[in-house]
Amino acid sequence: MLALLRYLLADVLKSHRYFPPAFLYLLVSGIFDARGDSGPALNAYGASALVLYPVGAWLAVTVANAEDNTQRGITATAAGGWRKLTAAVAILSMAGLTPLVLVSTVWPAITTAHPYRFTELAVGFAAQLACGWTGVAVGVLLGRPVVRKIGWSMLAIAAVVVLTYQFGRIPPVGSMIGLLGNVPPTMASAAATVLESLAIAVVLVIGVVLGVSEVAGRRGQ
Amino acid sequence: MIVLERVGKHYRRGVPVLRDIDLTVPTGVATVISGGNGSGKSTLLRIVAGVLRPTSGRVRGRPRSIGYLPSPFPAELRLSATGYLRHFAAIRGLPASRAIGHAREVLDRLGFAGDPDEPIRTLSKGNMHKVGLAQALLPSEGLLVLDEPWSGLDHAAQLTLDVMIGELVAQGRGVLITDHVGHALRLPDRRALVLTDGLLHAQRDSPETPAVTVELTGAAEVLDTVAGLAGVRGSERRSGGVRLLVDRAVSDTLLAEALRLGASVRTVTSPERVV
Repeated sequence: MLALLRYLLADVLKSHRYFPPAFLYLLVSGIFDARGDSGPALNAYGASALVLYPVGAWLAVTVANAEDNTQRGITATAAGGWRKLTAAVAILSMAGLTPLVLVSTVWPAITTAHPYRFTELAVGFAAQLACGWTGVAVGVLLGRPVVRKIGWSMLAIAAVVVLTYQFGRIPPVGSMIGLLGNVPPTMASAAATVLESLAIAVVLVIGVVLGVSEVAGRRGQ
Repeated sequence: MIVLERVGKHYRRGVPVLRDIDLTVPTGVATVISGGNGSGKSTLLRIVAGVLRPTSGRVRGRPRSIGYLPSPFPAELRLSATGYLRHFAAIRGLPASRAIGHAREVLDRLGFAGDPDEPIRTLSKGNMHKVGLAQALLPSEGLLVLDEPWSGLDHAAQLTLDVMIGELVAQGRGVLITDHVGHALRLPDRRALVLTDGLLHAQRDSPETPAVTVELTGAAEVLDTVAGLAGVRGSERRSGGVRLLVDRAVSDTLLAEALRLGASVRTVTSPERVV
């Protein structure tokens, strides 16, 4: 699996297609952050969590679509099946989001006058990660092989994201944005909600990987 | 040893590409599948390689390691030949130094001419194909699945590839190959199968009965009669004549009969044979 991840990473880095979602993320979270210190510590993470969901989806589509369709068949054969390749696409996307989340977690703690406690940083980090990883599940579902053209993938992701935000505070994404946008009752209850959402995000990714691998086998790409 | 049992495949809204395929790919012999364009050869190979799941039937005993060359080899690869082969050796769990050394040897023998450190997409089509072959032939024990391995290769590389496939077969590897141009007829140890209308048949000709190509002109009914004579393996109507593939053993008799019937002989060619 490590060799497969290394290969996919080398290929994605050479494609430079990871750049737009990463740049968009840093730009948007920078703009929101520029509003300055406002209220409780966790509120600073609300905006980046909001943006991480579509950015995670975009990044996952970038990774899923990086390889040529015929090459995907060669890679799946060499790796030992579609499940391994699809899982590697998801894991690489999740791992790729982590440094972005780290930056947007630490940044407000350095730049604002507000004192940050470790628990706030940890809860903020995990909450953003839950949103980003849910985005990865959406991206793996709506990239190749299920949706073959990137234009349709982006449109479908936009629709899913808008729909998710309409549903309000349901886990994993809505509940995190709600949590970060308001004053949490206690840090303990906040941590419990965050862990729940993170677990749901991981379950969603696993489910999507299994489903998408089935589609890949049926279509042979 | 991989075994396909009553394997069928159809795509959505489409006619079946494969119907009831029973196939065993033994080791120590090259299994060659021929058939026209669109006959389903590539689909069958993708099922054997594990890229595509059949709609019906099942596949048993697929080895863990499969060297797979699709046709055509992808043209838009960003990695260099060296990087690509290094990564694929690692993905297949092969020791790096031995695998890279072996891949270099394969490229050298095939006459790879290009910069192995430049992106594969900047290489010529033939050289890209050679990188694909080097990837499929990385040193492991498993099955080889090669889709049109000769296509796009220059003549010298085609002959070298014959020798390489011969070596792999002699080492006891299982090899499954598609061939629509008849190149595999040169392979010494081979089992020939034909895919038509989604069904697999044993091919009747064998290397012990070489063929000659005969081109005749004449009246249509005369040519039809000749095409129906014993010893004719294949025929193709062309403008004003017919091209026949004839068993060499009966070619003289057939030519005499054709002339007697009133046809005239335009050419007789014997395919080049490799010793």
